[in-house]
Amino acid sequence: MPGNKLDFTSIHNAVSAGELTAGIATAIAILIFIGAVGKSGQFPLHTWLPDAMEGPTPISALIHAATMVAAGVYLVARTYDIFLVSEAALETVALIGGFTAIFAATIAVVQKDIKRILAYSTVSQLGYMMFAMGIGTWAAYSAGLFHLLTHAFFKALLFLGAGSVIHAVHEQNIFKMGGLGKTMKITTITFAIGTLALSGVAPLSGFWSKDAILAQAYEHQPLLFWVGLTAAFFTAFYMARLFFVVFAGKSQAKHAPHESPKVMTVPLLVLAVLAVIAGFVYFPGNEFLGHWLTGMEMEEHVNWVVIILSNLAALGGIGLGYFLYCKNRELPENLATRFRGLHTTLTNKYFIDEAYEAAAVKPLAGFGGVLQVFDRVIVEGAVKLSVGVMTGINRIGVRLQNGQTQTYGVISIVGIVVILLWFVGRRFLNVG
Amino acid sequence: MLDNLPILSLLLFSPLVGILALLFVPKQNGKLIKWIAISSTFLPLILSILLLVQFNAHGEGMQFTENVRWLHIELSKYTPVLEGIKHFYYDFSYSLGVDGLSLPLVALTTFITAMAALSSVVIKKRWKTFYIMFLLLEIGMLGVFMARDLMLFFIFFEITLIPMFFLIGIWGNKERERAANQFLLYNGIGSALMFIAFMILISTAGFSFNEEKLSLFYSGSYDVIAANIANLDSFANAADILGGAFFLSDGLKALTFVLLLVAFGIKLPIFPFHTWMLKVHTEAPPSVVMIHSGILLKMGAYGLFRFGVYMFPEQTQSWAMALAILGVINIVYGAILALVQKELKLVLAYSSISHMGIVLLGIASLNIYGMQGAAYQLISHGLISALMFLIVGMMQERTGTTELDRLGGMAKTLPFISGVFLIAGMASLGLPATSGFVAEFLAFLGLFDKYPVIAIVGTLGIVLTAVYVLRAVLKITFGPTEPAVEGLRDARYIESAPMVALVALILLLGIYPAVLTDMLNNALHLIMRGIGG
Repeated sequence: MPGNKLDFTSIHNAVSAGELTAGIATAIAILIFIGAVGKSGQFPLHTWLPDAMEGPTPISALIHAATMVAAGVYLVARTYDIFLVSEAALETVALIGGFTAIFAATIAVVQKDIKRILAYSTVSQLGYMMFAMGIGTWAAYSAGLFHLLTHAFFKALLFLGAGSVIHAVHEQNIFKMGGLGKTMKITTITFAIGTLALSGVAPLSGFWSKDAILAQAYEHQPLLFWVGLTAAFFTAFYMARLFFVVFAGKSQAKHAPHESPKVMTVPLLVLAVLAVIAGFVYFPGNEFLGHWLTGMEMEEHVNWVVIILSNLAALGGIGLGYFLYCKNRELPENLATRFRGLHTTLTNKYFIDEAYEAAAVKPLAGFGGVLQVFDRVIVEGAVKLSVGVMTGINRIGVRLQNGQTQTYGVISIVGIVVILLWFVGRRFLNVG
Repeated sequence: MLDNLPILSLLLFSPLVGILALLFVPKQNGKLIKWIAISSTFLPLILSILLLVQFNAHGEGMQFTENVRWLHIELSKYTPVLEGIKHFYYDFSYSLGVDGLSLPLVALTTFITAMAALSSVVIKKRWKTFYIMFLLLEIGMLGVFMARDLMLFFIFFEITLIPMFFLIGIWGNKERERAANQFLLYNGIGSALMFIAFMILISTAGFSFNEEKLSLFYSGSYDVIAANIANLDSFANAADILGGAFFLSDGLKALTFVLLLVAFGIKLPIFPFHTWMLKVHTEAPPSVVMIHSGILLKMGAYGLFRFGVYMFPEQTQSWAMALAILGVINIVYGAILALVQKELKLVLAYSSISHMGIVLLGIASLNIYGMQGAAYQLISHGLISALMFLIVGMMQERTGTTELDRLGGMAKTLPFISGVFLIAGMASLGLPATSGFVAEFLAFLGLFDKYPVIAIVGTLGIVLTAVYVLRAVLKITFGPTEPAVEGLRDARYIESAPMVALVALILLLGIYPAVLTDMLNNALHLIMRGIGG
């Protein structure tokens, strides 16, 4: 092992020199990816992330938006050399990422807690980044990191906006809010910007980064393109639902909510500006970010099909959200009753937590109980048994040496008989 | 100045100062007794720090050696003398020395003992006897790590049993006497096996010639025995020279190795020899468990290094796979059982079993990384478990219980203790920047090189460690406040001092491992010279 290193340059050199066989590269890449799956809340290790939003809002903004969960995507990006060697690993990344993107988006559609919706949205967007990584081109790699960048701005904006809302109404259930648009002007406008950016409406930052990913998918992984597009539709839909339910309609608060203080609104404004303009570091015609990340010239063509489709998906989602939650407020209830099975599954997040409970927690606890009995009965029992045997032998020995001639006589006679029998057996019966 | 002093002997017997002083204090005067006893544990601590400073980490072999011939028995009268040899002696030397493996353990001993003495102020009765036993125990432990002679090692190893027996049996909880008996019996069996192994070693490999005087000396000197075993032509290994006399055949080597493995395995403990230590953990007073879990268990691992790996490199190699499997069993078995315990002390007891598995894994890897990891784990776990039981002691004193169900919400009433408890938990589960991480990382790095599959299974245990540690820590510190926890007083100064010191060392070893690895490196290379890894 001496001389082996773990720094990124050495890994890069080793991979470029072809020192890794495909099998090893696949194993390493997939194991690293599992770590990233845990960190970036990808399916099936995503359950912790929505739970972690129990923290105070600025902290969940930090966790969910920019820094912490991004570490998983960053890890894949940092060790991308290894992934590029292994086709299987890239496919896994793309598959898990794509699945997570649509999977989490569908859960977000029915959640009622404002922070939980945003948390599932984060899981979904991280899935986007992962599946960009899984496409396996440097352009897709740049697109994935680009989305990491823009997402940081608009998701932090949304979380802080949610914080501002919660601060005003002391409530996290969106259906107990409503009509906040009239009183909380800054929060509403900035939240709208965040919503549009996340939904991927041109020309906000989220549009450019999502478009860059989808364009790469369109070229290299057509199936994933459609998955991504569907997820984009769902994203726009649940954000529209969130926005219209919270900010439009009638107020349900007992006392009138008012706008948050400057210490909360100024960050919202700053982030809103960034959520609008951050996309311009990398779009067809400006390859600054891609070049900076990879050192290569990116040939970013304008793909009008993708641009139009993704905008249509976004606007369609928003439109549907407007239709269901602003115009026909009873319809969602009816739909939920009609598709009760589906609705329950989604509300319970596909029962993943319950599945873990049943598949891992319970069996482990049960196994622990069995081992506990094993430890008490078998292991300790063996110890007790050997002690018992010793004491038993001791007792027999004590009883034999009792100083009574009769006992000694009996033992002697028994001994003589045994010896006699043995001799007789050997001599005449050929036994022993 | 220090060059002329027998500093090891001074250190070894420095607890006697405290014992002598205590003898002259009336036993009712609890305050004075505690004051004298606690301050007297700092004398060995200071001496061992001096030793650390003076120690040359790049030096080969034992340092600060002392050697005095103690017993010199002529055997010629009773033994048929070989041709050409006039005299036959058994030499028993008082022979001390420390190398890079034993010195950290010596320092750990003095440090943990001082910390445990501080935390023993809560002892309610018979302070005088308690502290005399306590200091005697320290002498025994120091001697084990300093001895360079099998018999001397054995004597010190035995000395630790007696005070420990009384410390458990007099000051323990309800079932203290059963626990003490079980402790003594189980360890007695271990000692008996060890004694047989040592006798075999001395009588087959423990001799040296003096050609001038035409004499043959038997002794238990580590160096003589190791050299004789390593040299294939020496007649420790060759039947024909002695004409069929008692010699160390391969079978006998294997037997001796297994005897040593079981003897030290009981101490470590290796599954399935662990049941005795569960009782000790629950019944003994927490400050005694600090020493038990922090140092006494490490004597088993130290013995494995010193006698297993060093004297029987071939057997260690052929048993490496078995050791690795035993290690993984320890890790996973301990971790799963720790997960279902309802009593904090039992969680920690099983956690010790689990953590000692890492030592076995490190040894089984047979390379320097793994060995370093194993040795590192001794120090690291010594500090962490001492810290854990320090906290357990404080909880028990305040709440009267260590049942998980009856504890909860401690972070509100005892924020400082809870914070330190969380740090101890993090160190225990091997969070980077704590010593536990370095030890685990090195051990698994080494093992991965040799048995990747076993290493992968072993890492599962690490995941479980996180689960059981967090389960216990979260249950106790967070959640609804249980009645037992209400209205308590946070740590006093005399309690915070050892906590802070232990945390500082755990972090130091986690952030800058070179302070220890540099010292271990040379010693472990020497111990592994027969393996060559």
